[in-house]
Amino acid sequence: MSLVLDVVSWACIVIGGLFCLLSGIGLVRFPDVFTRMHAASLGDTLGAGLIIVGLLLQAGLGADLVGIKLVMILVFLLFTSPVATHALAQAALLDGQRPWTRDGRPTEGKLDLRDAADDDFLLDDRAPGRSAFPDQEAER
Amino acid sequence: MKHALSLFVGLFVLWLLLSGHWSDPLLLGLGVVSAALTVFVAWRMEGLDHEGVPVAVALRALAYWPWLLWQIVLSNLAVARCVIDPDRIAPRMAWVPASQRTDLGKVMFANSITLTPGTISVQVDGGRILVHALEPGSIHDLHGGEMDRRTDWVEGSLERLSDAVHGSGKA
Repeated sequence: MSLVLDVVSWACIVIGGLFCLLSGIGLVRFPDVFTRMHAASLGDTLGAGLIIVGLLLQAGLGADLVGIKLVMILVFLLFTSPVATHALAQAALLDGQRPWTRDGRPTEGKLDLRDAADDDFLLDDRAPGRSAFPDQEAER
Repeated sequence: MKHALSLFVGLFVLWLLLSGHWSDPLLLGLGVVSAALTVFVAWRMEGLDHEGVPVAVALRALAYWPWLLWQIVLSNLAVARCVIDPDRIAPRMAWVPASQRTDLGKVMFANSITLTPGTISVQVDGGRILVHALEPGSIHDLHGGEMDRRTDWVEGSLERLSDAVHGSGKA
């Protein structure tokens, strides 16, 4: 029984490590900040998740409740990482980063600047005379 | 009051699980005091509402998670395939309809989108969400609305509750 448990938990840890490795390779291979964030989320979700499941199988509930702490790590990770990813993506767009596309044309959906204009603190940080969407400015 | 009580119980259970002290009355008392102090600070910050302490949606959220975890596994495999063969990627950014009515429901939907690798929600604006996707198929799936419907269902418990509150207020 313990052999089965060992095999399963090591399989989880190794596959989780593999996903973290793929996440790192994706960070190097992908073309721009947005696609790289997709690669990074690979390690955040299945990478970390499988490693924690593997450790959970090793630890069990544990004398000092190690298992519960591992589950909590996973839950907090799953709640916080999308918030950070979202904030990073929006900050990159507001700073004028253009998403890379295969045909080089701009994306069909664009950041709605009316909304961003309400957040004065975001606009203050931008360098003067530099707009994330010069084509929208030109229309006005 | 319901939110304060559930926050207190939740915090104290968290304290018990993290500390592992079950018997010492002094330490247990200190745990109760620290949990109560946190509830007091949350009350002072006016965080004790359906958004700060979302107890109403907790049960349905638990039922929603297994499906979400399965979606995360599937999209992880899709992104892993893209990493191995970068020629597959064709990023898109498009607005996706979000039919949730409350802010909490929109947050759940946007967070679910970001949590699944391959899609990132960039901006929420009224009834739509700006999504950046690694593969065009993911945007297509989001337009299909499976995740939207399921988040709606989780949000449904919140609305039923507020309907009940309004109903009793009128009666």
